Amino acid sequence: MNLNYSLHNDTVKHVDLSFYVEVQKDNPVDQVIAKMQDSQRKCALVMDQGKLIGIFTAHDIARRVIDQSEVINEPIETIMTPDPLTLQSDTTLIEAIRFMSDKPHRYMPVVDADRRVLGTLTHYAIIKYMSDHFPEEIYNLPPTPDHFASARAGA
Amino acid sequence: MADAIETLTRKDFVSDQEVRWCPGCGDYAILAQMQRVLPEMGIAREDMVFISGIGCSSRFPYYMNTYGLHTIHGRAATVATGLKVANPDLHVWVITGDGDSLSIGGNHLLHVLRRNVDLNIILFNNAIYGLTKGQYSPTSPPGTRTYSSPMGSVEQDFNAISVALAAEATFVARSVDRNTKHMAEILKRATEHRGTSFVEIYQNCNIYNDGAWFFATEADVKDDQTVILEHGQPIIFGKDRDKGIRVNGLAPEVVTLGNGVSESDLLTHDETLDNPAHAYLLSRLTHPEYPVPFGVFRCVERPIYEDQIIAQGRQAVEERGAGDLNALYHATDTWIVPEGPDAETVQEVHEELPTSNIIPDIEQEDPMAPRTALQQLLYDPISSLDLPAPECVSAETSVADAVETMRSKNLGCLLVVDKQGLLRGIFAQGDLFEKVAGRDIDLTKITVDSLMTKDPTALKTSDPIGHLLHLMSLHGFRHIPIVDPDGRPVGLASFKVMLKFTGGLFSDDISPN
Ligand SMILES: Cc1ncc(C[n+]2csc(CCOP(=O)(O)OP(=O)(O)O)c2C)c(N)n1
Ligand code: SF4
Ligand SMILES: [Mg+2]
Repeated sequence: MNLNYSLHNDTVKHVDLSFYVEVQKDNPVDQVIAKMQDSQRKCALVMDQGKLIGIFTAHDIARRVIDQSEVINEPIETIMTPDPLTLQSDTTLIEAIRFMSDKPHRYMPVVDADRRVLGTLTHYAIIKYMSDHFPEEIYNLPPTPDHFASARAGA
Repeated sequence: MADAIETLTRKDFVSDQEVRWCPGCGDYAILAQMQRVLPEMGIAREDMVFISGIGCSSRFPYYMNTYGLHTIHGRAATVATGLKVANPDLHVWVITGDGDSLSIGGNHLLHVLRRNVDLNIILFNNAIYGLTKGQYSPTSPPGTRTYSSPMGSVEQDFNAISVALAAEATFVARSVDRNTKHMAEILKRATEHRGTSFVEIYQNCNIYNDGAWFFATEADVKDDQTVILEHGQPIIFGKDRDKGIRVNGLAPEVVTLGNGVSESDLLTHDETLDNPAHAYLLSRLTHPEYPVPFGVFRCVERPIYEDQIIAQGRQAVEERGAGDLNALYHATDTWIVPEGPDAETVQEVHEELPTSNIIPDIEQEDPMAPRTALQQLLYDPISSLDLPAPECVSAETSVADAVETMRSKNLGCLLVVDKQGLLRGIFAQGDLFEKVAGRDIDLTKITVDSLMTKDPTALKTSDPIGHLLHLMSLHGFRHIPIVDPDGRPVGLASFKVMLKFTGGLFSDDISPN
């Protein structure tokens, strides 16, 4: 099965969508950041009664929080990006790649037909998915490119 | 010499060593049968070697007036393999226990069996570790209470015969210490077989596991609870020889002869079948549901390991001449690991070995399928990607300034260079996220070198694109600096760039292959 075929037939549901945390709109910014740091997730989806209302990422931290300590106790709602763009769960991967490489967004929430959140699509997850198709060329490599043996040792 | 062999008697095989088994131990019976059988085998004493591991049973070689080795726990089969390859004319017995060969030596047992080294393995199965005073072993059934399982063992036990068959053994048999005549026959058959003979002998440890095999030895029950396998004969058992084994689909069942069931309905034993399924089915006849079989489960021919190895060695010497072990030792790459963090590893260069005329044949075969266009692309140099130029700052730049630069130019990362323009570090939004966010730090007071990743992994423009994806997908590096041969940054690869690159590769004209 070639990658082009897979990318046109698999949807965003076929990649790892778990690189995010969920927070509530009234959580203070510092708590949200701590939750992101603890789980090593650079994306938080902001929820209000089970509905997605905003997104807050490491990029936002670098741009809007890092040197403005006064925002740290505000509810996340005041600083998040509201009404984020989302992807439908039946979006094919090739559509998602083209969409994301044209836009500045690094994290795209994925929702089903009832707008329930299924996860978040990240650049990393797509690259990992594509790399999985080329284990010999990508995974089975020496630690540095010039580490290739001049002669085979085993077998 | 032939005369000498003919005159050997049991006594010739008895050593002067004090036998140290507990009085009443089943090991004595096995020793006695071995000493009884060997004089009849026509083998000179000096050509026999008994090799054992560790355990009560493994003391056996001391008591045989032959050559012997009391070796390493679980490794008797391995030592024996080496001995057979070095001197294939020897007759070698491996003496081992259920603990020795099925616990610590399990791996060694499997491989000697599949290799079919011409050895005779005698496994003394007492379903206990005797020497170490009574811990349960891999053949102790679940529930066995011992010093190491006071509430009953919770482990599934091994069936030694099933294990041997699964390991492709060519001769597999079972006997029991108290049926001395049967044991003698089996020992002879094992000795005669060319290839690895595996013989499990049920042995009573009267101190730590007394009675483990009584169902197979006590006169009043044994005929109904065991069956003697005879090649070419229907499988019949019972005091009155009125019961037999019939196969129903894949399942064996016990039937009583008469009432419409005749001998022709029964399973007929055939030890020579190439397919081990028959022997395996028999090995699954276990107490108390079925009569437990004794005899030869399987006896087939297969090439002998050492015959083939030695032939290959001869061929290599004929083609390439006798080797020089010393030269071989010194012909491989060696290196000296230096003291101290900065010293360079020294590679020692030796004279090349004369190239072999055997190995190149192997190397000429290329197991790789032809590459697809996409695969090929992954070997292309990074220089073929359209990478953005990196934004570089010095190590003394304040973090506040760096943040401002990233903000105004909408960058996720800066490269940190020294005065010569050589790459020293990478400073990314991830560093701010991990090391600064949520902490009260005055960004005007700290410089980027305190937060940056020092000496980051970088690639050269000539390195393959596959390696870039290697670092990204396996190590999660979002940004990878690309440097010229001197180490000056000339580009910056990122998830985003790779996504854009791949997005452009694919047409909508698709087919599955
Ligand atoms: C490396 C190592 N591990 C553990 C032991 C302890 N030990 C000695 S004999 C033995 C088991 C012996 O059981 P078995 O092979 O069934 O022999 P038996 O005494 O029952 O004949 C063990 C575990 C050892 N001697 N060496
Ligand atoms: S401990 Fe058991 S196996 Fe060992 S010598 Fe004594 S009776 Fe035999
Ligand atoms: Mg034992």
